[in-house]
This record gives sequence, structure tokens and C-alpha cells, in this order.
Amino acid sequence: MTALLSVKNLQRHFSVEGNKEWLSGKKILRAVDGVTLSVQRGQTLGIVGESGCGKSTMAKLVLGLIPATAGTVEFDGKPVTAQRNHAWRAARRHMQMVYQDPLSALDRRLTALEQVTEPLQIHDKHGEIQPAIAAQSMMRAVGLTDNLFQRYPHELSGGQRQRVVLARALVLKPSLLVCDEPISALDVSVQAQVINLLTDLRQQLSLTMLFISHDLRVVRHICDEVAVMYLGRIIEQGSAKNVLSHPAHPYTRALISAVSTPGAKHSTANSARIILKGEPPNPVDVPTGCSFHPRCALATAQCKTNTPVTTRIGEAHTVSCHLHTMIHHGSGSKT
Amino acid sequence: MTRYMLSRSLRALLTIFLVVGFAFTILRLSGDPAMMILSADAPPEAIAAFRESWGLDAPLWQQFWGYLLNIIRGNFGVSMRDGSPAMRLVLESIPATLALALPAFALNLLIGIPAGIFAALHRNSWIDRLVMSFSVAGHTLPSFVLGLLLVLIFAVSLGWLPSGGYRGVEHAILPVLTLTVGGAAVLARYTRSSMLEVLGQPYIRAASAKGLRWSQVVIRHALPNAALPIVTIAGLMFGGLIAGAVVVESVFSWPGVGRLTVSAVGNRDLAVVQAALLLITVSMVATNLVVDAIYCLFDPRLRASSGAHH
Repeated sequence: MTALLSVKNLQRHFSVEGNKEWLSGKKILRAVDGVTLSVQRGQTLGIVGESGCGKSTMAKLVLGLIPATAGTVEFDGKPVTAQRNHAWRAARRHMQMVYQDPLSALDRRLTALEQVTEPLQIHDKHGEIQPAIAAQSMMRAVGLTDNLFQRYPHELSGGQRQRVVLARALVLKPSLLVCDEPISALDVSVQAQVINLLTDLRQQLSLTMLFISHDLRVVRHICDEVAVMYLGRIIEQGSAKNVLSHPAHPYTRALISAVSTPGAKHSTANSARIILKGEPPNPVDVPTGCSFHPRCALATAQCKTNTPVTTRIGEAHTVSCHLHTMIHHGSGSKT
Repeated sequence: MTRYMLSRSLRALLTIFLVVGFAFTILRLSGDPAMMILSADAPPEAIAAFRESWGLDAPLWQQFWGYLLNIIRGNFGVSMRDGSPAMRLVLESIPATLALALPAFALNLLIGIPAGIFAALHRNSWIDRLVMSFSVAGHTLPSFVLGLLLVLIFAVSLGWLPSGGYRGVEHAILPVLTLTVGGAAVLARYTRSSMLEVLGQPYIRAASAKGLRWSQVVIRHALPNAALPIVTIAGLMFGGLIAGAVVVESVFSWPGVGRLTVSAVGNRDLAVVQAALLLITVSMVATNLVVDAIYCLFDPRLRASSGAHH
């Protein structure tokens, strides 16, 4: 198996001008701060974390929609840049994106069919297949019935809109699909349908997926691997089974304990809910040492000064925490 | 679509009725035409006779009713000054107004919209700041100041162009220029802000992420979506220009609808003022109807709300 997507030490900094700090100059927001990960062909990697942790910036960086401050993204062995030249546009057909809010991701003046046909018109100018026919068959594949083809976005339901967005992304048969919180704007009843659709299509089209979400239940259901992000860094990464059943980082444990899963047995050491202290810190002023230490119940003096290194704690499981041995063995011994 | 346009048309008729009624009442309440036209020290008998012959002695509602009936018959009254038909006086001044309005409107569109688009596409660059500085200046400079300034420079100091009058093309240059500076500035500002709003939408990013060339993203997705507010402003502007640029026509002694209205109001020449107001109202309302029709072209939501879709 080869990695379809490989990200090395990726960084993206934004300069923000503070209102009061104009004398002290520009501050730097490290939205993504040294992320390394890879996704094998046909696998689905979930990126989880609170809002503001840099998940969506990751999505844009991976697709080359915004330039990286440092680090590299390689797609199918070739570097992805944000330079919008001919090669960049041509590469779009291999990597597509599904957006959080389907209504704003669709041009309200175009019918559903026109939205899905457009990518084919862009990339298959001299194709033998009729774009409209290919678009229609993809729309049927995502579960849109023929009577919806000529509707405008405002005449569709939330779930139908997201299916149009999905059909538009998949009509070019891309190898990588980046889903940025694809179901968080949908009704709960529709979420399951869209998730099941995604799982089916992933199989049929042998898609590689980057699945960004804050919903751990969905991630558990759909992902092969999971990366947990906190303030622009990946603090724990591994197979979905390892990370979600034997979380090693206190933050991951808190996230998991916050999900109520009826009937599921909690494998963490104490199944009591772990409440995180306070809000995530301002990403402009990242705490020293381990950036999680102000909210961590277990933090020691070491955590306040030293940045933890990424340590391998199992086959396909890494964590960045000074206390991982204690936690991991503590939880592991009881399961 | 049909139902939408029908309701708009009914509303337009109501608007015209209200404006005509309002103008009629206000004109009669704000001063006695007999005094103005015959002068205040005319003998009382002459004033009474004048009132009687023009029907000004009847109750207001009776005058209004008679006026409405006359309008329906196509009779808009005669000028109290020289007895010529009021509507003819107004219609005769339209070509002069159009001679300023049409070139000014075309220049507004040709300069304002591209400047706004260009500024939006190069947001925060020096070129954007330059365009917007000109726009703010053009927007805030009153047309009588600008008009006089242009006369001072090009007619008085340089002597290149005439300072006023209505004869040849060279007489139209300064008034058209005055109308263009303000109009293009307003259009540029609205176009820029409308474009910026649309360019920030996720579907624009999505269109680019599909691999569409940026110029095509702008032409296919950004411009049509940004067009609605621009059409609104352009429509209002066109209606205003047809109504006659009161100030500019006065500054440049241009015999258009605007100047006719101003002098008729000053003379309390009721029939002429009413005829001019009727024409101005109708042209404003008609422009708005056209704008509403254009809306339907740009926004499928309006088309659907008419019930055409089911």
C-alpha cells in the first residue's frame, strides 16, 4: 500500500492585527502548526477536534486552496502547491471537496443538474460521454431522483442539497475526497443517510477520504484512522480502533467521554465524564510547553515548560503527551 | 413570473395615483396661482375672474375629480402663462433631457461597473484604494459645485467649451461630465461591495476548487450573483436621469424637463407642474418595473415564487 496523500510538517500561519496591540505589531495565529500525516490509498482518515483547532485550514491546505507557510503536501507522489496555474486546475479532477453548508456551497442561480454538469464541462471538454448524461447517472447514484434535477438549490431540502454537492464532487471520479464537516449543518435524521451514502460510495468508487468532523460517533463509524487536533497540532494519531478505544492523550479521553454512547461499554479507565476546564485558549497566544496543559487535570510542572514529543505507543498509534505511559498503561490494564 | 409582474404593475398604478394626488393637493395649498401670475396688487375682480376661469374657486376634491377625469380623457390642462397645452410643453423638453440622460447613463455603466469589479478583484491593492478614493470624492461632491467648477475650469479659464446653452455637442460635454462623475462613483461603490460579498461566498471557492479558470469563476458565478444590487441602483439612476437633472440643467441652462419643472413651480403654473410630475412619476415607475423584470432573469427564487414552477 502506498500513501496517496502525505503531509510533512505542514504549517499555516495567519497574521492578525490586534486592536489594542497595534503598537506591539502583528500577532501570528498558528492555525496549522507542524502537522505530519499520511493517508493510504482507499483509507479514510478522520481529523477531529474542537472548532478553531485548524481542521478546516488543514482541508484547504491539503487541496492547495491556500498556500502553506511551511511544509509540504504530496498527492500521488507529486507536490501540491497553491499556485493556480494550468497544472493546478487540471489536478482538481483528482481531489474534490464536500462543504459544511451545502446551500452556500451551491450557486443559487443554477439548477441541480447544471451544478453537477459544470465540473465535467471544465475537465472533459472533448469527452466522448455527454456531460449531462454522466451528471445524471452520478446524481442517481447519490440518491437524487429525476424530478429534482431541474430544481434550484432553494427548492431542495438540506439533505438533497448535500447530495448535489456530493454528486458535484464525485462526478469527475476523484481519488481523494475531502469532507469538511459534511453533516454538521444537516438534520439528525438526514445525517445518518448521508453518512451511509458516503460509506457506500467510498466502496464503489474506491475513494480515499479525509473526513473532518467534531462528531466522534461518526468518525468511529466511517474512519480507518483518526488524528486528533488541538491548536493546530496533532496530539494523537492512530487506527480508529486504537485511538477511540484506548485513548492515550487526556484531551482525546475528554472528547470521548463527552460522547454519550448508549449501550457501548466505556473502555477508558474511569467511565465518568471528564469535563475540560475552560475554553480552548486563544490560538494567537498558545500556552508554553504542552499547549493543552492549562486545561489538563493531570498537568505537571514539566507540562508547563517542555513541549512533548510524538511517541509511538503501539503499532499504528502515536501520542504527544509527557504522561502517556501512565495513562495508556493505566487504561490498558483494565480492559 | 406573470403573477409577480401583475402585482408589481398594480402597485405601480397605485404609486402613480398617490403621487399625482399628493402633488395636486400640495400645489394648491402652498400658494395662490392667481396672485403669482396676476401679481399681488391686481384688482380683486381680476383675481376672482382668474380663479373662476381656471376653476380654482371650486372645492379641492371637485377640482381633483375633474383633473382625474381630464387625465383619463388625455387632457392635461393648459399652461396658465401662455395657454399652450401643458403636456406639449413637457414633451417638448424631453429630447433635451434625453440628450443628457442617455450618454450620462451609458457612461455611468461603462465606467462605474468595470471600476467596481476591478477594485473588488484587487481588494486592498493600491489600485483599489485609488478607485475608491475617486469614488468617494465623486459621490460626495454636490453636482452644483462640480458643475460650477467644471465651468470655471473649462469655460472660463481655458475657454475650451461653452458654459451653457443647448445647441451643439460641445454644449452637452460639461453637463454630461457632471452627471457622469457622481453616477459612476455611486455605481462603482455598489458594484465593489456587492462583488466583495459574493466573492467571499463558499460557492465561489467551490467553483475555483472545481478547476474553473478564475476569469470564468468571475464571469459565470460571481458577476451574475452580484448583479442584483447593481441593477437596482442603475434602475434608480436611470429613472432619476429621465426625470431630468434639476440642478445640472439649471446650472448649464439646459432646456430639459428638470428646468421646466423648476420654473413652472416658481411661476405656480399648476398644469405644467402636474404634467411634468406625472411624466416623471410614470418614468420612475416604469424603470422600476423593468428592474423587477430583470430581477426575475437573475434570481430563480423570484421566478419560482410566482408559481411558475409547479
